[in-house]
Amino acid sequence: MTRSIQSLWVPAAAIESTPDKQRAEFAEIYDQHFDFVLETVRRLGCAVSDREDLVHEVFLRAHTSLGKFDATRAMRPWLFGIAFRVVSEQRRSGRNRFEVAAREWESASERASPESDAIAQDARAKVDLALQRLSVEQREVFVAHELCEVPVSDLVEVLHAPLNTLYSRLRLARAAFADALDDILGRKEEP
Amino acid sequence: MTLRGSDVEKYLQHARRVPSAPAELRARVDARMKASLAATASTETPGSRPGAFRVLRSSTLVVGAACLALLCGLLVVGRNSVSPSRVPQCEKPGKRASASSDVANPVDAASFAEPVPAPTPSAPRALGRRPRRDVPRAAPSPSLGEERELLARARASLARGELSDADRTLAQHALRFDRGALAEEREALRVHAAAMGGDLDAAATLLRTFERRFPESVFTPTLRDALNRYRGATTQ
Repeated sequence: MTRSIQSLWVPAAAIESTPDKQRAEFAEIYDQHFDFVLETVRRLGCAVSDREDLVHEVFLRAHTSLGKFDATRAMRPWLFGIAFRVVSEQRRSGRNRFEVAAREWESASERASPESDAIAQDARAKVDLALQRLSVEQREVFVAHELCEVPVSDLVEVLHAPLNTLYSRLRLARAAFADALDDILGRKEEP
Repeated sequence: MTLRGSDVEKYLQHARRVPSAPAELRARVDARMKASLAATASTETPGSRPGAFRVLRSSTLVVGAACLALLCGLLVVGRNSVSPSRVPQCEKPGKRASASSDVANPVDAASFAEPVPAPTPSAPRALGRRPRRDVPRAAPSPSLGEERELLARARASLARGELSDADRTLAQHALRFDRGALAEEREALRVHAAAMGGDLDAAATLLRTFERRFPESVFTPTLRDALNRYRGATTQ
């Protein structure tokens, strides 16, 4: 996506108080990773009606703490960490509706997306359904590592668990996911 | 046939693809970001804070600085350990409000808290301060005032060593403002109260919960330090 939102915050006060470089950096992050953040929030299991609020919150926090980001590290694990915290807080607050039907996650516009063919859509829907059968802890580590491709070593700080615990949890999550997928497919279908 | 290995991987490959966001959702978030960032910018005046602080929201900074200062003061009351040479690091330009600083003495804590505005908007402004800005601040919500009052009572109780009163007040705050604006400060005070009461295991558990809930809190290093000091005091 080439669209830029740099022009979105151009009031005089913003220009005076926010260095151009920082503004440009954030705009680039926002543009490049908007889809990733949205997909991460969805994968972590929030309801479709909460996604807009959560993505907005993730980027607000990213903007706030951009100065603390270590530029030598990858951006996606950092954003995943923020998204994870936002979704976890939302989950603890009980204000949203997790564990919704996977089909609900797909808005009309998503289904009409030209880049998603029927097979991919079907596979994603089945993966979503399988994810719902995992415990919250298993789902978190599975989504982070298997779908968002965040290294397990980077998850120690995000998930607040020792490395060995995370590997163990991931192993169990993989097994549970495979079982769930088996069950969903009736052990017959393949993508 | 049971799906394993490569079969699962086929599905995961599809699921790993990140689809483009729905245009209408993207447009709505764009608009909200624009409004949020413009509002953030409008509450800041150029040069009003050190460079490292510019991305922090002013309300968070002020409340955080005030409570950190009070926590530092409480540590002194509780431990009676003074390090007069310390200078509050938050006052140094370019330094983040890090609790890596050691426990400050009461004088330091007081000077640290000095820039915090009076709790009531009608309080008279000190002479020589900057003129009122063109953009008015949003009026503090009534609930924020109540939150402040409850936490002030809890701090006072802690300072007097009346732990049961402090616990009661903190529980009252939790009941009324579980996710209130000052929830972070409340949870920090709970850690401190548990440590002061000698229940270091409970304090450690509360601290872990606090770290998970507020992973970027400026209070965390101070609380860790305080807990370590209490532990050191009990082992001596």
